[in-house]
Amino acid sequence: MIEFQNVSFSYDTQNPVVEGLSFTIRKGEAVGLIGANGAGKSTIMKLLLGLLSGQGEILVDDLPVNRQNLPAIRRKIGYVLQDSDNQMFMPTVYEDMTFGPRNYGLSQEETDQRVDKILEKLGIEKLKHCYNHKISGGEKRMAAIATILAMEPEAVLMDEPSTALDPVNRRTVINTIRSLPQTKLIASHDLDMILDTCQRVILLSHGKIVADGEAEVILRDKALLESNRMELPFCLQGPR
Amino acid sequence: MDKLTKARSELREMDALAAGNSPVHLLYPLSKLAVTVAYIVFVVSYSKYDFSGLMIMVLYPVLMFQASGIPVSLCFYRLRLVLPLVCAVGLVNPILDHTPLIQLGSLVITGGWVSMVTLMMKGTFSLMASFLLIATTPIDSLCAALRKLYAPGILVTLLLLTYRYIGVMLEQVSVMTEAYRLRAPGQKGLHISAWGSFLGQLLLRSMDRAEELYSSMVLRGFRSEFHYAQAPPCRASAVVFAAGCIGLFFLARMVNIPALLGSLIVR
Amino acid sequence: MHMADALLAPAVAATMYAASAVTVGASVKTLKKDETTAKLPTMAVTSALVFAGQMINYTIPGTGSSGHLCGGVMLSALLGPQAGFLSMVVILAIQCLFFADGGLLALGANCWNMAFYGCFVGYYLLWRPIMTSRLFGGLGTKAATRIKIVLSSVLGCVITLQLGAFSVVLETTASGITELPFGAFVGIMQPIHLAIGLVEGLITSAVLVFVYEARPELLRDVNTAGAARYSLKTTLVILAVVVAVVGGGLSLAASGNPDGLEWSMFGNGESGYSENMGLDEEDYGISSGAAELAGSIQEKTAFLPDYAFAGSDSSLGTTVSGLLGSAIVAGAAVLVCMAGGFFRRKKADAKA
Repeated sequence: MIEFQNVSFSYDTQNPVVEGLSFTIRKGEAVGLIGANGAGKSTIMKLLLGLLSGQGEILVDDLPVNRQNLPAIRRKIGYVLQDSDNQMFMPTVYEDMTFGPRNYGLSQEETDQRVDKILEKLGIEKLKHCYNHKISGGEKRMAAIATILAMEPEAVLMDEPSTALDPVNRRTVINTIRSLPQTKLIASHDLDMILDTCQRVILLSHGKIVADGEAEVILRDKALLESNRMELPFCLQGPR
Repeated sequence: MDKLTKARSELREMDALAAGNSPVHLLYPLSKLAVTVAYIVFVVSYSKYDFSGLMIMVLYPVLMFQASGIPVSLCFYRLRLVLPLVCAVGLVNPILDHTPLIQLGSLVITGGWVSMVTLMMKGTFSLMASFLLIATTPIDSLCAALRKLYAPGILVTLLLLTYRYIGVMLEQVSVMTEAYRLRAPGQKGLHISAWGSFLGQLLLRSMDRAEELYSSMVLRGFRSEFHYAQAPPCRASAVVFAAGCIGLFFLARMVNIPALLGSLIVR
Repeated sequence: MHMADALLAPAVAATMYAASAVTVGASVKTLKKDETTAKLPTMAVTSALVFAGQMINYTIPGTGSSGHLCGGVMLSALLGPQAGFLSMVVILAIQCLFFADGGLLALGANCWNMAFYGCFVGYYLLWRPIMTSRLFGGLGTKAATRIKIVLSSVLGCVITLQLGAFSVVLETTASGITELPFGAFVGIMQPIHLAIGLVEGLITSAVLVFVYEARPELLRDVNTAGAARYSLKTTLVILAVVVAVVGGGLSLAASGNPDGLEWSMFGNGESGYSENMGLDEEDYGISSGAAELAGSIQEKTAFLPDYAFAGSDSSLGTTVSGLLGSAIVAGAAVLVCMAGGFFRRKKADAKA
């Protein structure tokens, strides 16, 4: 569904942010994007969504990511931002959820049906008419996911979805991600969450792909992880 | 620097108040806006010596406050921002205006005192009316009402978005202020050496936030139109309410009802 | 400088609303649609930040007092005058609606006094001509730009606050609200706002210099080679003319103290007022062209507050029966409050 062919990007000629990226994500796959700070995880997502443009080719369902195809591509891919405050910009959760569908031409009735369906699925009906600036961090994260799901995307990108969440909220988000049937690309430092939610992992270092394979394999490779400024997931580190 | 804490709690307070479901809360937003504006215009139009004529106008806010269940005391605390200038302007009147207006036995009340009191009453009444409007109307309903009045879409959208982010920014400024204070004990405010970097840093971070926000909007199909929350349908009762209130205000302005009442007793 | 509703007559408030509305319309039209769409998040977030930033206390060294940020000049330096103006309008609307800082009817006047001058006068007459000029060129680009930022910020804030304060005086006087003579009112407002403007200007320049050092591309008219529409010379000429006109007007008001007194003693069209003073307009005071003009203006403007309600009899407002009736109404209001409280307590008890 998503294909990167020798993609590179830099803000200036000396320091490439990402270089020579080539990988394919099949429909329905759940892929974890891991790497140290500055490795290029967010850049990959922005390139995919056309927020940045570099060299090489990116295809979404065989559509090249270019100015012409952006509206069609952005309809297919939902993006859950790291900072939920930047995502939830309408006064209430309900209005945020209807923002996307209404922009894509859905009627008020169809939109309302979708909103209710998704709120019920995520178990957050009580948040429907809550003010965005009053709900807690965990609730905002769940509401942000609901907002993206309201657009019925085929793929969902998530940037650090478990950051700053207490254990219970974190578990709720993990369970929610696991239940999503869409293609998923999740960038995170929370390797335990990646292990819980993704079958495949792409390890980035200094803008290049260092490893691409099964999550169970890569996330148990202590030497590989430590040589790329990472550690084993906590659940695999053994007793102190 | 607890202005920030006060601002945040005042915003929260208004949100909580607007979430009520009294009859006043359920009134059509546009008719509430029309009645409020008309009320303020009428109140402000009273001449400076028309103390008793103006007094009847107190009944509108008093009745509405009781009907909405909102404590009047909350409103009076808000007066602290605007009344000082009104008082400063009005306090000069008794000094300069010595027209004798009322004689009560040996006591002579001059025009200056009357106009000062009238000015303060006007200030208080108009503030009570606008406080009532906002305390019973959530921001999204207000914006929907403004759009119905053909206010420019860009301005209303800006109002909506700015309101959304004021809480976030107040929080950020608050956190940074606390952090500053912990490293600068004994200082009351921002030292001149930090004038630029304190707000400057926040400004730069806000620009980054704005970029992210724009991406978020564009990725969800935004081009230029914001679809607002549907305002509740306009019922006949809304029109009746507005027309009735405005009619009463007009009557009160034309006829000095308190004086009539008083003249029934004083022969 | 936020004005309350009580300080304005409906006609004056309506005029200022019209002026501000026209400016809003012109700003919206000038900003091209796609430019506005892209700018909207920046405008919103920056407005919210300026709102929060206005609550920071900037300690003025050596004085023990503190200054605050206004934001008009800063917003227009970052966003441009039109976007800056719209942002300021929103900030003022939120302050008015949610914090009771400024009246609803006075919003138009407040937008004019605080947003219009800061964003348009401050930008077109000061920021752009100074920033695009070759002043201080000998010091090197960076140093010169820093000084230019400070100069345009301070001058911008001082001048816009002076204009704003003067407008407050004009609007209040035109509304016939106060007995305070025009000259005295000006004499109080202007010097206070001169000091406030200076401090604000320094705060604004500190922030803008910081932004220039970190991300110069965020500031308008910095490092641009293009010529300004108004050259610095034009600005200086315009400012000189304005100062002459305003200064001349002020000296007429202030020096001719009897003019000021005349204004307050004779100019009011209240029935029976001039007779009560026992003064004959023709024989009293300095008769000068300015005094006559001032008197006729005041007559007209004092007439305005009652214009829409020409039929009402204001003299009833202060008779004894009027006072008695007022006491009855006030009593009724208190009874309503008590009844409301009683019924609410009953409801709470029934629920418990």
